[in-house]
Amino acid sequence: MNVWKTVAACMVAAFLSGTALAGGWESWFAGTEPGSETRSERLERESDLYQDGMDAIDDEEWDNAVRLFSKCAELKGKRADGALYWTAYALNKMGSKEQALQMIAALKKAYPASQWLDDADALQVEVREHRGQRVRPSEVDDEEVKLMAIHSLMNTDPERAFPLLEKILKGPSSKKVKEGAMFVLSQSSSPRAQALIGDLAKGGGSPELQKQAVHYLGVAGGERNRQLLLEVYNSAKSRDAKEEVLNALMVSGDRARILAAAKTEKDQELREDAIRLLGVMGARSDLSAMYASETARNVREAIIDAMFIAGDVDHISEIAKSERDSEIRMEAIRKLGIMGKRTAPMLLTLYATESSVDIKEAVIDGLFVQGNARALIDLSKKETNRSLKREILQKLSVMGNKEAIDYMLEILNED
Amino acid sequence: MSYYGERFEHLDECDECRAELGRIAEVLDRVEAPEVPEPDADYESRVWQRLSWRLRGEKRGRPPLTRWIAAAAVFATAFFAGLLWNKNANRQAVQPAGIAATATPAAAQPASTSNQQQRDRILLVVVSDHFDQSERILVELTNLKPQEGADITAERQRAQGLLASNRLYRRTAEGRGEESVATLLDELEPVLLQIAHSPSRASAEEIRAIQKRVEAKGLVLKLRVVRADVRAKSTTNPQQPNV
Repeated sequence: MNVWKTVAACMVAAFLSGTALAGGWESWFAGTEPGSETRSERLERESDLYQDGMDAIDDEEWDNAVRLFSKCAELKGKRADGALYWTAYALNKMGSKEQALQMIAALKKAYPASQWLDDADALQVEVREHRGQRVRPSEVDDEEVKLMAIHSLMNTDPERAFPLLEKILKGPSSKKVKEGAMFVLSQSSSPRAQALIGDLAKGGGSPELQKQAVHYLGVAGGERNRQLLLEVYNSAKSRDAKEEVLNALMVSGDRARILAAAKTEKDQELREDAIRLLGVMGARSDLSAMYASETARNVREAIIDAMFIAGDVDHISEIAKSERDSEIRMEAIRKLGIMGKRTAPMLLTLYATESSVDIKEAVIDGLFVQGNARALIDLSKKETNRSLKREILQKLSVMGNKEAIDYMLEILNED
Repeated sequence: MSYYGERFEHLDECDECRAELGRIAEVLDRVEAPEVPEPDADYESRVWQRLSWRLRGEKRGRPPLTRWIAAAAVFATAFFAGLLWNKNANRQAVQPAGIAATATPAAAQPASTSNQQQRDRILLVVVSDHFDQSERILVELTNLKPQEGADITAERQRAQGLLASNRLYRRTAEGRGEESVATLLDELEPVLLQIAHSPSRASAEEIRAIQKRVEAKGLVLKLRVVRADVRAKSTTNPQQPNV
């Protein structure tokens, strides 16, 4: 590091802290500037220095940033406190930890009501830690900065950190701070921390924390956590909590437990959720087997949804061909339509072999949805039923497709 | 559009396009518009039910199928990333090749390794979410038209909210050796600070400064790239199916 820059920075720090205490820094400043600069010129200079300082930070030119922000702070304008923060930030990046701490102290002294104080506290915790000094959480007022201190303590002395985290999680802290505490907890290998997450997942805290704990268990995965999630599911009172557990089981890749919920859950909505999650997991054969043994229409529709999510054209085609319930058949046909042009041969076969007008209309809808003008034109050419032909032409007319327009003109010219 | 009244100067000059429009108009003139059904009596209340939870920022009602499709896309990516990751890991360990052999049972791993992986995954998942939220703020601000300044109260508050997490995640990522994540969080921090300390009513100059900064650092792109990496990494082991 260039010595003069550190010296300059320290001088600013010393100047600000000393003169601020003495209450005479404005007059001192007035003495250094002979008053030749107007207020707007000074504001502009401050703004330029600040902006140039930020550019230097972006370019990681730390010594330049120190110089520019020090100059900016000297102006004692509306951005002086921010300039001091960034000076400390750049000094820390340069490795000048002691000077960075001095600068933070200067900022606190000169601007005790500054909005940068919390950020300065956070920076201070980091700088001190880098110097090997442990920051006691009790020394810090701001909860978020306290959390940083606890985070450090968790790495060095988890037994002491744990009760502090527990206090935050079970106390009146804000949701944001609790979420941070939960994250810190999740990063600990301490069995007590794992047990507390389990307790929170079971509802030992607020519903928000329960949701977060359940999510973390799912993300972490592993058989132990999966088993824990199952326990949470079985003991949960609210549907929301159970839904979160299902999602977490999906995230953890636990197909077996989701399949069990899909088969046995009494709550219909949860059951359908579990079925759709099987779709998300691509459990095609499980879904197909469930469909074969299921009789309730809403469940069968949920299974078709899940098959659609899993991209299972084969099984949906099978349902579209052979399902006896015409409503469900039409649903399967619509799904095939949404699944893209690869399903066109199947839809055209259905159209050709089917006598029901409703089913044929569903096929037309499906082809329309996939923007398959060619297939609709082919159907129209062969169709003798006026109502169906009209249906096809209506669809072609709104497709904005050149081939469709040419075909319609052809028909019009025939008239 | 021209058929429905929108004016295009090109049509005044181009005979060919005018003729084409005439052909299209001829067809459209003769098309019978599909009947628009009248909404049923409780249509409005149903629409309101669907929208109201969004306005309150709460989760309510049945999720749309698109949500499941989005979840499927994420899951599929994660699943294959998991297979790939495991495959590579197994190759290194000189284990039998093939997908069936790739899934290393969690129980077969030392507990400490497994726990460490679990913590890593949580870190990467929360960081991915953090990048997502940060990106939304940055995209919002970089798309502002700075000419007259703007009210950025919402972005400012969100940036303030993200700062503490940013520090926490950066320190954790540094400790965990996740260098690309830690570096990006480190680059993001000054920008979040700048936004968080901007006035609610930012001047044109202030907005330009933020935009210039975000663009010069290519932050939005970096966030997207690293987030994609992080997502792939974070969903390795847990995606091993247990059936």
